[in-house]
Parts: sequence; C-alpha cells; structure tokens
Amino acid sequence: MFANWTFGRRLAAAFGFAGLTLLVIVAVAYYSTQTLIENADWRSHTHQVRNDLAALLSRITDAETGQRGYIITGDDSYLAPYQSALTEIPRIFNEVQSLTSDNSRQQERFAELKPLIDSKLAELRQTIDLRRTQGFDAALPVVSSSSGKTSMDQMRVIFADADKDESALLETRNNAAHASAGLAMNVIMWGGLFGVIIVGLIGWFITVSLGRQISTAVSQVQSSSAELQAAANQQATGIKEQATSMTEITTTITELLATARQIAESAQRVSQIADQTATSAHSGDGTVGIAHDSIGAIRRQVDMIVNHMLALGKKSQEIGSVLDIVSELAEQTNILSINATIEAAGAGEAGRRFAVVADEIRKLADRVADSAKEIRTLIDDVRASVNTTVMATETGSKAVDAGSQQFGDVAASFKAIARLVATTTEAAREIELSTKQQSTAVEQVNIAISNVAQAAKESEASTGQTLQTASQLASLSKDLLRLVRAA
Amino acid sequence: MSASDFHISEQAVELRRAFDRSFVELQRFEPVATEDFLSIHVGGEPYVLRLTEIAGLFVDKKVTELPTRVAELRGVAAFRGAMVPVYDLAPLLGYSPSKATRWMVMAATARVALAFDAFDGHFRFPLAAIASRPESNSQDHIRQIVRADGGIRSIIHLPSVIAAIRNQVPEAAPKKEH
Repeated sequence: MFANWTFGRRLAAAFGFAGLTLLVIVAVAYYSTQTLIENADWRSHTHQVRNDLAALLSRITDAETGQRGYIITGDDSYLAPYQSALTEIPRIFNEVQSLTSDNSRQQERFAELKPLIDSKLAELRQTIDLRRTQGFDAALPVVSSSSGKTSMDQMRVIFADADKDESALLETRNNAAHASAGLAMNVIMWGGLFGVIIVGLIGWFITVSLGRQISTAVSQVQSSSAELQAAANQQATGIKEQATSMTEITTTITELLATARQIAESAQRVSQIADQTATSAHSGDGTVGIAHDSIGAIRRQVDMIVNHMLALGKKSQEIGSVLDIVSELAEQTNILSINATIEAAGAGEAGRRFAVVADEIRKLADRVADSAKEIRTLIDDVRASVNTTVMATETGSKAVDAGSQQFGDVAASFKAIARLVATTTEAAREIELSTKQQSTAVEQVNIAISNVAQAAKESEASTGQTLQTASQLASLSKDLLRLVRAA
Repeated sequence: MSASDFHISEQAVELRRAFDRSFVELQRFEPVATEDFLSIHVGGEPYVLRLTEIAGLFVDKKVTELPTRVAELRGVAAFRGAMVPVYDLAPLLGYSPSKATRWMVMAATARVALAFDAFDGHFRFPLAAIASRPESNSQDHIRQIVRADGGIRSIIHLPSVIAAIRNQVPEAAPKKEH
C-alpha cells in the first residue's frame, strides 16, 4: 500500500497522523482544562459569594458596633464604621445578589434578608438620632429592646443558611474541579504516552520505509557513481586519445595544406603545359592532314602498281601456257626424233642420212626443251617475283590503307587531344581554383581542429572534474549508505 | 625489254645457228664408234636402254587394265595399230610397282611394251665407256654398265627382260609369236 508513496506523501501522512493524534489529545486536554478552569471560576465565584456574605454580615455588625459606641459615648468618631457600613452594605448586597442570580434559593433568602437589613439600619438610625437629639437615656430603651437582637438573629440564620448552601456548592464544585483535573492529567499523561508511542511507531515506520528505499536509492547512486566514475575514466582516456588524434590530424592537415599548395602550383604548371600542348596539337593536326593527303596519293599510286603487277602476272601466266605448249612440242619432237632415229637405224644404210637429220632434230628438240625449261624457270621466277611484288604491294596497299586509316585516327586523335587538352586546361584551372579553395577550407579546418583540440583539453579538465565529482559522489553515497544503514 | 628477254632471243638465234651448222659440220668429222641409249629412271634409280633394242618411245598412252594374276602386267595399249601388252619395268627389275608410268618403250624383238617412271633423254656414249658387270650371269637383266657424266648407269638387257616375261606367261607367249 505504501510502496508507491513518495517521501513527501509518507512524511505528510506520518506527521499528519501524529499531528491528528496530538490534536485529539490537545482537544481533549483543552476540554479538560477548560472544564477545570470553569470549575475553578465557579469555586472562586462561590468563595466570592461566601466572602460577600461574610462581609455583608460584618458590615452589619460594624454598623451595630458603631451605633452602640456612639450611643454609649456620644462621640461621633464611633459612627465611622456605621457610616462606612451604610455605603458598603447596599453595594455588597447588590453584588452578592447579582452573584447568586442563578440560584433561586439564595435569591429567596436575599429577598427575605433585604427587609431585615433595612429594618436593622432603620433601627440603628433611629437610635443614633435619639442619642444625638435626646441623649443617652432616650436611646437606651430602644437599644435594650429585643427587636434589634431578633432581627440580627434572623439575619445570622439567613446568612448561615446561605453560607451553608454556598459551602455545599463549593464542595460540589471542588469535586467537579478534581474530576476535571484528573481527566486533564489522564488525558495529558496517557494521551502524551499514546502520542509518544504513535510518533515512535511513525518514526520507526518512516525510518524503516525511507531507510530501505533510500538505501536502495543510495546503492543505485553508488552504483551509478561508480559507473559514472568508470565512464569519466573512459571519457578521460578517450579525450586524451582524441587530443592525441587531434594533434596528429593537425599535423596531417598542415601537411595536407602544403600538399594542396603544391597541387595548386602543379595545376598551374599543368594548365600552362596544356596550353602549349593545345598549340602543338593544332599544329600536329594540320601536319597530319597534309600527311593524310600524301598517303591518299601514295595509295592511288600503289593501286596502280598493283594493277600493273597483276597484269604482268597474268601475262606471265599466259607466257607460261605458251611455254607449256613449246615444252610439249619439244618433248613430242624429241620423241619423234628418237623414234625416227630408231626407224633410221632399222633402215640400215638407207636411213643413215635420215638418222643424222633425226639426230639433229632430237638435239634441237633437246636444246629447245632445255631453253623451255630455262624460260620456264625464268617465267616462274618472274611470276614468283610478280606474286611477291603483288603480295608486297597488296601488303603495302593494306599498310597504306591502315596508315591512311591510322592517319585519320591520328587526325581524330589530334582533334580529340586538342579537345581533351582544352578540357584538361579547364580542369587544371578548376583544380587550381578548387585546390586554393581547398587550402582555404583546410586552413579553416585546421583552425577548427585547433579549437576542437582546445575543447578536448577543456573537456579533459572537465572530465577530471567530473571524475573528482564522481569520486566524491561515490564517497558521499558510501557515507550516506553507512548513515542510512546505521540508522 | 629486260636482260632475260635479250638472253632468250640470243639463245633462239644460237639454236638456229647450231642447227644449221650441224649439217655443215657433218661432212668434216669422221663419226666415232658410239652407241645410242635412252636414259630412264626406274624405281628412282638411273638406267639406260639400248636404242637398238627398242622399237619406239611413247608417252601418255592410254593403258586399258586387264584382270590378270601377273603383277607386272599393267594392261594393253595400242601401238601403231596393234594391241600390245604393257608391263611395268620396276617389278621386273626388283622394285616395287610404280605409281605413275607415263613413259613406255616397245621392245624391238617382241610385241611387248615396258613402262617406266621417267625419261631423261637420248644419249650417245662411246663404246669405250661401256663395260660388263663382272658378277653378272645370263639370267641378270643388268649385264653391262656405262660411265657417263661422272657417274655409272646400268644398261638394262631387254632380251632377258622379255625372256623373263615369257617365262611368267609361257603358254600365252608362243601364241602371240605365231
């Protein structure tokens, strides 16, 4: 029920309950004290009434004493009590009548007493007047009569009854006062004891409840302070590493700045060289164009040479065909001459001259065949040379074509080079500008890094302070835990 | 005109002159004792044939093959109006059969044609250059040799070759003779 209550609520509830208990005790004590005070007042009131009754009787007695002294002595100085009583008696009578206004029996007695007092005072005045006017002897009979004594006795009885009633009231009010005082004492003593017990229980409850919770919280605070301490240590280590890294970064950035400046200078030189290259590329483009035209003329000449060589090869082939016929004729002639020689030999002496002719024909055929073979060899050499020349020329033509194409490619490459060089120039300028901007940015970064390094140093100091605070917090939590557990 | 053309023209002129001169010089020189031969190649080796032993030289004759058990018989061909059997000279001389035999000669003593690989030409050797093979006998086809051009060439004895052919076909040969 109380687990989810806050400290304030628990304390408010505990102190509220204790205060309520004390309030009840105080209320009861107040009521008892009030009753005791009222009873004391009533006792004082009763004492006042009894004193007034006694004073009233005393004043009546003083008046009678003064009256008798004056009558006996005739000295007016003896009338002083009488005179004083004349003023005091009505006052005291009215006072005591007022004090007992709530008591009907006492009012009845005072109503009965009033005529008696008036009668007594009238008798005293009569006797004093008689003494003053007529002398002692005139007043003596009146004094000696029993009327005065009778009235005094009646009044004494009334006063005695009234005092008796007041005494009884005093007794009753004393008992009530004692009862009220006892009640007040009991309330104060037992209520105080009860309050002490209640406060003790509340204190124990608060101590146990809050102590346990505070102990748990303090344990958590101690754990957290330990973690905070460890984190502060790690943070301090990290900040030291960060400071070291910042120093390295600053060094690297300084080197980077120097490198960026070198790059800017190199980019500027590249831009200049690119301009020169662009000029050379334009010049080379023109030269390549002229060379391309020359290559075209060479190609046409080579084509012409190829055509002539092909024609020569064709003619050589035709010569070879004719030569084959010649060779075949020579071979057939040779065969015929041999056969003629054979036939001539078979003819004997008659064929001898024919044999000579046949032999010469055979020799001629042999020499023709040899010449044909030689011509064949020459023709073959010519054809081989033609073929070689044609192949070489075709190769040259292809080379010229390739060269022409390559020159075209070279021209395109020169144009591309010029275009790329222009792009390179622009890029180099952009690089130069960008590198300068980069240098500026790197300088700003360097400044920022310096600021960060400074901040890291400050963080290091702050972390040291945090570490110290965490250590103090850990120590404080230990002390608090010790205090709580000791409590 | 190139140098080769000049050379060929001069050669033709020289040929013409030599041909004409040969008839003029024929009367001034006494002929030396010589013998005519045909130089051929059989089985890749050089041989010579006596011109007197052959009846004619032929080239590129169409040979009609015949079914026969005689390995040397290539078939028959027409020579000067007559059908003549054609034999391969290579196996007759102990070589393996020739693959291409466009040249052939017809024997003078029999109607038999002999085919061979290649024909080199007609040569005339002095008789002093001809010598007999010491170890040869009457059955050999090579009985003489001739020294020519720094080398030695074997002379094929065609009558023994013809005799060998006849020995292979003894029954057919007499009928053809009659």
